[in-house]
Order: sequence, then structure tokens, then C-alpha cells
Amino acid sequence: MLAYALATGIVFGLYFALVGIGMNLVFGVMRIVNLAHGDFIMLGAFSAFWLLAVLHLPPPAAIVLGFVAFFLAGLPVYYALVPRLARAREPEMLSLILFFGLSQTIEALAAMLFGNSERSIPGRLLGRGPVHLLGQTMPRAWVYAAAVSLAMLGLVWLYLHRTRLGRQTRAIMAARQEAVAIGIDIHRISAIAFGIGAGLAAVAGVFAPFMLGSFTPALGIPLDLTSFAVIVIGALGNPLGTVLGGVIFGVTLMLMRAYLSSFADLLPDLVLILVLLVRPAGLLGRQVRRA
Amino acid sequence: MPLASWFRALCFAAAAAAAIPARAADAPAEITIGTLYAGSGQLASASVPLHVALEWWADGLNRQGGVYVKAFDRKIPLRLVSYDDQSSPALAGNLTNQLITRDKVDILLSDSTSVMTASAVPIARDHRMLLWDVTGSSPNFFSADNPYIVLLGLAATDRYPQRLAEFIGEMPKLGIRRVALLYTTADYTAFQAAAARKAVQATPGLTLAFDRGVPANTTDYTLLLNAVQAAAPDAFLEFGYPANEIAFLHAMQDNASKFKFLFTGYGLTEMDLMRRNNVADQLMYSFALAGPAAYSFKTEYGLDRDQFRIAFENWVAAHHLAGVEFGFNALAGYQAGLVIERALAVADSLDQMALRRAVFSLSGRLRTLDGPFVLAPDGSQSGEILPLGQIVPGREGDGAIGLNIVWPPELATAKPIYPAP
Repeated sequence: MLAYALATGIVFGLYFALVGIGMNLVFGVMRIVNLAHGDFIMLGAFSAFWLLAVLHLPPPAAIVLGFVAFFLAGLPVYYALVPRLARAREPEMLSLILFFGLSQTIEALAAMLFGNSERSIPGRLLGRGPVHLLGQTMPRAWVYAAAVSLAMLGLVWLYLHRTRLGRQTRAIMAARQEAVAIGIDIHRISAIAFGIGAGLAAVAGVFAPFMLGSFTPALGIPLDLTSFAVIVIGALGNPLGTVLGGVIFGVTLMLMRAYLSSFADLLPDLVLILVLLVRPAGLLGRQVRRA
Repeated sequence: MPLASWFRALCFAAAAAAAIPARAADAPAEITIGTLYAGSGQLASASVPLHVALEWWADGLNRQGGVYVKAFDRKIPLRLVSYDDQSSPALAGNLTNQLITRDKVDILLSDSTSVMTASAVPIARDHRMLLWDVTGSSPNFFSADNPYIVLLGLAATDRYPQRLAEFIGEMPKLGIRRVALLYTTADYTAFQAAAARKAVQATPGLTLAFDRGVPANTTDYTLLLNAVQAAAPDAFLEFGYPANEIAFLHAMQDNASKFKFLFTGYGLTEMDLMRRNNVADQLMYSFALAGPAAYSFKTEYGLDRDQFRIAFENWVAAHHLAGVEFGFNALAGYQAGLVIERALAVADSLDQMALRRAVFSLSGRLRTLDGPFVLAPDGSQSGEILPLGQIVPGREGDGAIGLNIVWPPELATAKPIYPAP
């Protein structure tokens, strides 16, 4: 049971990393907490559902279409909300309120349009039967989700470390004022980061029905809590710390399921409190400030 | 007739004629029914169909001039005062208070589920307002010293799984020795699990091989299924809310898990929802309590199950309500309406205790599509006990789902198929 909990925890944790990385990227670049991130994931799940139901497009197509569509949709959302927010006296606090409002609006609209009942996508669309990995048997969809998560995390790393835009993004994350001083177009880079965050949320959303059994318009807030716990463990503002945070969260969750299942839903809160008390900057917090 | 008798008869007639207009003049312009529903959040899928059914019921009566109220000897239009509690028990508490103190509703209905009803119970009691509890079946809500609650839509959860508990006593005859129990720790499911556990422990030859509770928001069942399989049970009893059941059945599909005997708490309660989520196949040969949405009870008042289903689905289509399925919760909303309707037809006044007496006067005399309505002295429901069914392939052989009733013997239509093919 211990080996199974560890193996499924790593696989599930990689998906949690994908869930959290978009929120962390946005926080790292803009210093705002996008509380609508979970709702973007929920919309990604609905996109995958409707692409399948109406156009018969399977989940792999939904990944590509979802990322592109949400990236493009994220750009105007950024320009509509964030520059005004940045001019406010307390942008961090205001961002919480504004994006919470956006989250509620998205959830209400989704409930009106799609209803509140659970929806899901059959796992057999990704192949029949479980697979063997790390010496254990687990659902095929989990393995695909983990593989796609790893690929997306790798692409984020390549973007941040191997492209000009990515280097500018890291410059803003490390020292915003200096980045402005050397002529980096803050809003352009931030808009792209916001779009990437939304696109990553869409990809996470495609796998949400497989990882979470089903989804409803109410999926957003629980996923926000999970994302927040994951990025606080890794390091707020350090997207790659999210991978570590996700895996730790996933393994801990599965260990709780295995040995203390009744208390498993306390996990995000416990982890948040523990990390904030012991290492407020997150496990990789120091490195991000030196980056 | 002597003159004195004529005179007495005239006086009586005059008094009666005077009394009727006086009562009619006192009649309110409308009967207000205050209720909450979860328009969003985790419990929305259970709550919205219930509320939609209530709206349909009230609209139907209003088209006929309203509900007959004996206290005023006339029909009075109904008005639903509804607030969205967003699946938040804290908000439900505030809104319940608002319905009583600001809206001053005549009838107070709780939201669906025990989770959402819990906050309304003490508030209704404090305000001496009768809580018409639709599906909040936790036995914790009912006590001899609280006359301000009646349960309408299903048996209290300690009685609800009665047929399952009885059947557990028969399991050794089928060759079942080891039983696994997995449940969410909400009242509704935990009480059912407790009844099942008690039955297992009371049955010689049965062992509880696995017994675990999980939080109600659990949606990843793979690890738990693995743990259950490791315990090698002959029978596996699982209790959860619809979101849990869908996730659980998906996990079974994805892991190619199979059990010789599987019981699910919601398998026959919201079958349309299970079908739409592509997990109905997973329920084949599994067992579940045959709720009124799946099993047709003898109906003496109101529409029967099939008539209601047609009317409800027409209403949903006409009002373009997305994602609202026919199932137990829709049926419970209609059941609440039927009980209110009958109670107002016999209540002497709209006083809360008079309404309670009226509801109790229906106990044992009302049979609806939800089964026989029988109240215990504490206001909990003791009727509406569901038979145990086994889901089998339909007769048509076109993938349709059929149902065998396997317990109690007087209702049984077939013997249980064990182990599942």
C-alpha cells in the first residue's frame, strides 16, 4: 500500500503541478493572485467536454485547441483588468477581490449555460484498461495526464530559460523596476504570461474529468485552494518550484488517503499552515530571489 | 316545523353565512413558501432539480387558482420565496433567518440534503417555525423535545437502509463471508454505513474486511479501490453522494475493477445522471436501494412516477433548464409539494402547530409516488422504506437497464445474482 500511495502520489502530483503552474506564473510576473485560475480550469474541462460532444474531437485535440484559445482569450482579459489594477494603491489586495469577483461571475455564467449537474468524459477515450508504471497498476488517463503535465512543465522551462521573451519574463520576476529601466515592455510580457497561464489552465482542465471523476461549474474554488497549496509549498512566484510542490502535495494526499482517509480534505489547509510557519518563502523560495 | 325550530335554523344559517365571508375576508392574498436552493457549489446538482420540481408544482396549482386552504375555505395562490445558498451551510443559516424574520413566510422548506438542512433546524426551532424538511434525513435533527420539524421525502437515514441491513443477514446463505465498507463521512452516508456495519457485525459468519470513511469531497478513488481489492471482500458496500459515485464508478472503469457483489448508495437514485456520465454500465449486476425514481410505488395521491417524469421533463425543456435531470431529488421536491397541499387542505389555521398537526394527520394515510408517508412521533420519516434491487440487463437487449427487486421477499421479483457475471 505504501508503494502504491507513493507511485500514484507522484503521478497525481505531476498533474497538480500543472494545475498550479499557471497561477504561479501569473503571480511571479504580476504579483497578483488570480483566483479565477480554477475557473479557467473548469472552463477548460467544459471545452473538452463540448469539443467531444459536438465536434467529436478527442482530448488530445482539446489540449491543443484549448491552449491556443485560452492563450488568445487571456490577452484581452489581461489588458482589460491588470494594467488598471497595477495603478491601484494596493494591487495585491485588490487583485484578490477582483479575481474573486471574476471567479464568481464565471461560475455563475457556466451554471446558467451548462447547468449544475456533474459531467464527465469516459476514460476509455484515452485507451482501455489500466497501465503498469513504477511497479504499480494505475489508470491510463492518470499516466497520460502526468506525461502531458511533464511536457507542459518542460515547455514552460524552455520558454523561461531558452527564449528572449522568457528571459525578459524572468527579469520582471526577479526585479520589476530594473526591468522597466532597461526598456522591457512590462505589459506585453505580462500579457503573454497571463495568456500562457490561461492556456495551461485549459490543458489542466482537459484532464480534470479524468483525474477528478467528474466536474461541475463549482470546480473552480477547490482547485484554487489546491493550486495555492501547491505553489506555496514550492515557492510563490517560482513556476518551477510548483513541480516540487505538486509532487509533495500529491504524495502526501495519497498517503493520507491510504492511512488517514477521513482527514484527507484537511491536507491543503494543514500544508499551507505548516509551510507558512516553517518556511514562508516555500521550499525553493530562496533560489527564486537569487535567479 | 314549529316556529321556534325555523327561527333556530334561520339564526344558524345567518351565523354560518356571516362566518364564511369573515373567514374569506381574513384570508391572505397568497400563501408564501420560503425555501433555499443551491444554485452553485457541490450540492447544486441535488438541490436544483428539487427546486425546479417545487416551481413546477406551485405553478400547476396557481394555474388552477391556487391551493385549497381549509382554514379559509378557499383556494389561495402560492408564492415561492427562494434564495440561493450556494451550497454554503453558513449562508443557508442566514437566509433561513431572513425567510422567517423579514419575509415572514407561512411555510418554511429546507434545502436539499442533510448538510444544508443542518443549519436550518436550530433556527426554525428558535423561531418556533415548523421546518418542512424535504431530504435532510440525519437522525440528529429529530428529538422528542423539538416539535418544529417534519421529514417529507425519505426515511430517516438510520431507517433508510433497513432492507439492505436485513439482506446483509442473508448474505452467508449466498456464500458471502467478507464485507468491505467505504463511505463518505457526511451524515447521510455515514448513518447508512453505520446501519450496514451493525448488520454485518450482528450476522454470524460475516467479517468486516474493510471499513473506511472518506471526506465528502473525495473524487479520486483509485487508491481506495486498490485498498479494497487488497482486502479481498466477497461483498463491497459503497455509500456516497452523486459526485462521489460518479468518480468511484469511473475509477472502477479505469482500473478494470470488478467485485462479486457491489452495492452503491446512489446507483438507483439518480440513474439518469449516471447514464449521462457514462458509468451506468459499471452498475450492471450491482445492488442499490430502489428509490422512487427507479421503482414505481402504488400511488393514491398525485401523479405516479411515470406521469410526473413526463410532466417534469416537459417543464424542464419548456424553460430551457440546462443540466436538470429527473431523479430522486426532483421527485422529492414534488413530494414536498404534495404533503404541503394535503396539509393545507386539512389544517384549521396557518398556525405552525396547527400545520404540524395537519401533517401528522396524514401519517399512514397518504401514499404518493414516494411511497407510504409515515411519521414517527419526533417528526422523522419511517415510511418510504425502499426495497433492495439489483440492476440487470433490460429485456430489450439494447443496452437498456432492468431492475430485479431482491428484498424483501414479499416484493421480490427475482433471486439475487451472485457472484456478478
